This record gives sequence, structure tokens and C-alpha cells, in this order.
Amino acid sequence: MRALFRPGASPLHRLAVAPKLLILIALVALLSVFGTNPTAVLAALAATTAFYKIAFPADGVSTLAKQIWSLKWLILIIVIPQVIFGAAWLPVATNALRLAIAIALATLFTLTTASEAMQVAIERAVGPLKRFGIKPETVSLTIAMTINAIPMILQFAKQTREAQLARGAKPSITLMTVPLLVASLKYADDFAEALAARGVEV
Amino acid sequence: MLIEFESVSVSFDAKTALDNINLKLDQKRIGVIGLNGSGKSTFARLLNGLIAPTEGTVTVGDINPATNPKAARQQTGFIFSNPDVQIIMPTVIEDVSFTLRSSKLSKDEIRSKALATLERFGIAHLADQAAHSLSSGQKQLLAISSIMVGEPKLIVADEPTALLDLANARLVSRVLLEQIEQQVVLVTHDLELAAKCDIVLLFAGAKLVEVGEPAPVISSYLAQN
Amino acid sequence: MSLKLTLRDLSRIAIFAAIIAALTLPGEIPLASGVPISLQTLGVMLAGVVLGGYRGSLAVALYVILGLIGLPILSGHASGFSVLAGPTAGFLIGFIPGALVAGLIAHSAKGQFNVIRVIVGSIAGGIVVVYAFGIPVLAAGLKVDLLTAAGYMTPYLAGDAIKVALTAIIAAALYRAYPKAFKN
Repeated sequence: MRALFRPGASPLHRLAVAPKLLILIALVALLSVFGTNPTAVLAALAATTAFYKIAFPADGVSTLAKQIWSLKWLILIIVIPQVIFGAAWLPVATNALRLAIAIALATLFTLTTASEAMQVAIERAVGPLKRFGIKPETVSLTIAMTINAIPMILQFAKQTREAQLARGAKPSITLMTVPLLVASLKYADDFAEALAARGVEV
Repeated sequence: MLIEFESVSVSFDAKTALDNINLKLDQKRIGVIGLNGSGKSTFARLLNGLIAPTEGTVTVGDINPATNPKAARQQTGFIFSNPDVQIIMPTVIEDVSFTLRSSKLSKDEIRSKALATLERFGIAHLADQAAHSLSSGQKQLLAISSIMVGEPKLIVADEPTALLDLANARLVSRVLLEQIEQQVVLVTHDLELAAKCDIVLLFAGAKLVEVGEPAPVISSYLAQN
Repeated sequence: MSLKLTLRDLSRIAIFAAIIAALTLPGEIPLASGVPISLQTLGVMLAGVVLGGYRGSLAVALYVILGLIGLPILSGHASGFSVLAGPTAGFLIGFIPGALVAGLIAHSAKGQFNVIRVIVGSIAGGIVVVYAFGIPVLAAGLKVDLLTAAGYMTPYLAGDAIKVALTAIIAAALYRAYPKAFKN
């Protein structure tokens, strides 16, 4: 699994998670308010390009281009039906571009923020839940457990598939999923015991 | 440390897992053998309070694990047979440091202590690797490091070599029997390993049927099955 | 039902979040309309049906949060907050109450496994609730009316119906193989 985060030293990388997220939400909100105005959307495109350039001085523009290109199917499905039903091309193009920019901006947040930093921010954000008996450490422990479990589950899936092929069964979703669930849930119960043995408390 | 069982019985639903165990142990290497379902694992889990007795009292040192599981888990490190289930954190060093999470040490002190422990068990070079990418023998050494860094007084290992190949099984048993200075309770199917202990307990049908020097206990186990 | 979680609950929640991620990773068939068909919804339905409403929805919420913080585990290899800015955000958010409803209905026969309740729960939670969140957001995002947006979803309805059937078959088999899975 490759994480989406791309390390760097730009101001966007150094900005704390919470303000960065607030700026993102504000920008996306602005974009949806002025999203029908072609000039505003073009200005937003220019600003987004500048942000990408700041974040990745070496290849900011091509990174942005790659992001927008990866949205081609989404853009096509928005554009084609509307053009078929005779909508004018300018509002349709504006709308598609607006959507692509919103997604590219949000992607920039992900690209410049390490998962660990977000985990710390989540831990801080759930701090007030202490009053309801939910410890922030428990939340981050559960997140760590999940991240660890994903390769385990994929391993279970591989073993299950091999065992079934070896016994001459044709792999199917049901044949695959039942043993996977049994192995994973047993693993979960053993894991809970190991957590208790290492002195973890809820 | 003195491990004491006073008329201890455990039952789950209507099944008896351990039946009236009376025992005093202070040997350094304690082997536990018996067929699957004979009560070995239940015995091991009573030592750190993962299971509480239905009747009777268990005392380890001066702690009753059933009433004070927190202290019991600090005092007793537990090693499971499946190395995958005991790894909690994503990387090797993080998993070892996790044990020290509630100590008063600084971040740097925790890291250097964790590294020293990894060094001791020969896996310091893997410190920053993803724990999941380790071989099963290395994972078991990681589990041992994660427990040893907390300086427990007693190590309980429940078939720690069951899923390992010969070389790794030998490596892990050497660590458990020779390298660790603490008292060790070793639940095992490996009779070669049991033979190296100071005392061996034989369980059969939820009962403790024999306790003593390894050689006679192991031969009566072989004779019974 | 107590809201207090045990270590075993937490462990199962974490594992199920990972199961949904694993089910989402392979075998995606991107349909032209950009909402990819994946086994993601199957994972969401199973989470509710197996773990029950409360723990199941927490598992789904955990999965969604991990996707949002940048793990490449969401459907269509999209991830990060960009998903929330996109037109399919409503479906992703709808998964959380979806698993809640699926689980509450599936577990409503006290301690008894009931395949009819599993099916009704999967339809109500995995389809009705998820679409109820997803379609309005899709309509707003694409700037079309609700009916047109709902029309975009018709090709997916068949896939989701198959997932309801799969959920029922898998849950029934799991109940025979490991009944403990459905217990607290």
C-alpha cells in the first residue's frame, strides 16, 4: 500500500493540520458559491496551480495536471449527458472545471499532510470525548490496529485463495469471504487477549 | 517468585477446564506439557489474570491476578504462539516503545531503551521496519523484546515455538531458556524443550497429573499417549 | 445495549474496518458513470450484520476516517479529503448510518440468527439509507435535479441487490462456521 502523502518542506507541508483543513473547507465553499461564474472558476484554477507550485516547486504543474487527468471519467459523465440534452457548453464546462478544482484542492491537502500528523490531529480533536469515557489513546490505538490489520487480512485472503485452489475449488466471493471472516474474527479475539496481556485498558 | 495455586478450578459454560489444582512453584524454568485441551493454556492464563479461577486462589509473588489484573500484567509478560496477534504498533521500534507508553521516561529515553532491548535480542537492525514484514522467528523475538523492555518478573510463554521452523524454534527457545534471567513458565509440545526445564507439570483432562523432574514426567507422558 | 466498548469490541471494530478496506482493494469494475462498483458496500453491509449496528457503524466510520486521512483504501483508489469534495461524498458518509440500520435490523431478533432480518437490514441500511445520503449530494455536486441523479444510480442497483444476496449467504455460512462472531 502506498500512502498518498508526498514529503516536502513547503509552507503547505509545514502548516498545521487544523488551519489547513479550515482553509480547504473555506476555499471549496467559496468555489461552490461562485462556481457558475467562468471568470471566478478560471481564477480559482490559477490559484490552485500556484498552490501546487508552492507545495511541489519541482513538478507542481504536472502533479496538478495528473490529478485533473485522473478525473477524466468523472468529468465526461457530467459533460456528456448535459451536452446531449442540449445544454450550452460554457456553463457545462464551468461546472466540470469547478468540480475538478475542488477535488484537486482537497487532494493537495492529502498530498501535503502526513498520515501521522493527521492521526495526531484526530487524537487532539477527540480529546473532548474524554467526558463520555472515550480516551484519545484508545482512538489512536484502534487506528494503529486497523492499519496493521490490513496487510494481515490481505495475507489471510491470499492463503484462503491458495487453499481453495489447492482443493480444486473455483474461487468465488462467498467461498473466499467466509473463511476470511472466520480467520479475521478469530484473529481479532486473540488480538484482544494479547492487548489485555500487555496491560492495555479501554 | 512463588507461584501458588490453592484448590483452583476453572470452568467455562458447563465445561471444566481445570479441576482442583494445588501447587507451589519457585523454580526458574517451569515446563508445562499435556495434550491439547488438557488445561495447559488455562493454567498459563491464570498467571496474569487473562482468566480468573471459578474457585480457589492463584497467587503470583504477592499479587492475586484475578483481583489485580493490572499489577499482574505488569509483573508477568505473556508470549502467544501466533506472533502476528501480539504486534500492536506498525513498526518494530514503535511496538517495543508501546510497552513503555505509561512510563515517566522521555521520548528519547524510551527510544534508546527500546533499541537497547532490540539489540539484546539481535533485531536492532530491524528497528524501523514494518513489523508485519518480519519473518515469524523475528516477530517472536520482537514479541519477546516488547515484553522484556517492561522488565517483568515472570515470563509466561504459551507454545511460543509452535508456528516456527526448526532454526527459529531453536533460536527462540534458546532465548527463553538461556538468555532471559527471569523466571519462565513455558507451555510447550516440544518435549526436547521441556526436558531442559527445572521442573515439568503434566496436565491431562483438566487435572494436574504429575509434577517433578523433567525426565520421569516426560516418560510417563509418552507412556500415557 | 451498553455503549461501553471492551478490548474485544475495539479489536473487532479495527479488524472489520480492515476487512472493508481489503474487500475494496481488489477487483473493481469502474463503470462509465464514475461511481465504481466494488465490494465496499458488501463490507459495509457485513459490518452491520455481523458486528451489530453500534459496533458495525463504528467499524465503517473508522474505515472512512482512515480513507479520508490518506490511506489508499477507498473505492476507485480515491482517497483523502478529495472524496468529500467530490460528488460521491454522500455515499461514503451514508455508509456509516447504513451499517447502523443494517445491524439494528439484523440483530433485532434477540440472540437468534435470522436470515430474513439480515436481508431486510441489508436492503434498508446498505441501499435505502446509503442512497438517501448519496443521491442528494450527487445531485448537488453535478448540479442536476434529484430524479436525474437517481437515474444515474440505476446501473448500480442491480450490483447492490447482488450484494444483499451475498451478505445473506455469507452471514448464514459464517453463523454456521463461527457462531461466536455474532455474539458480544
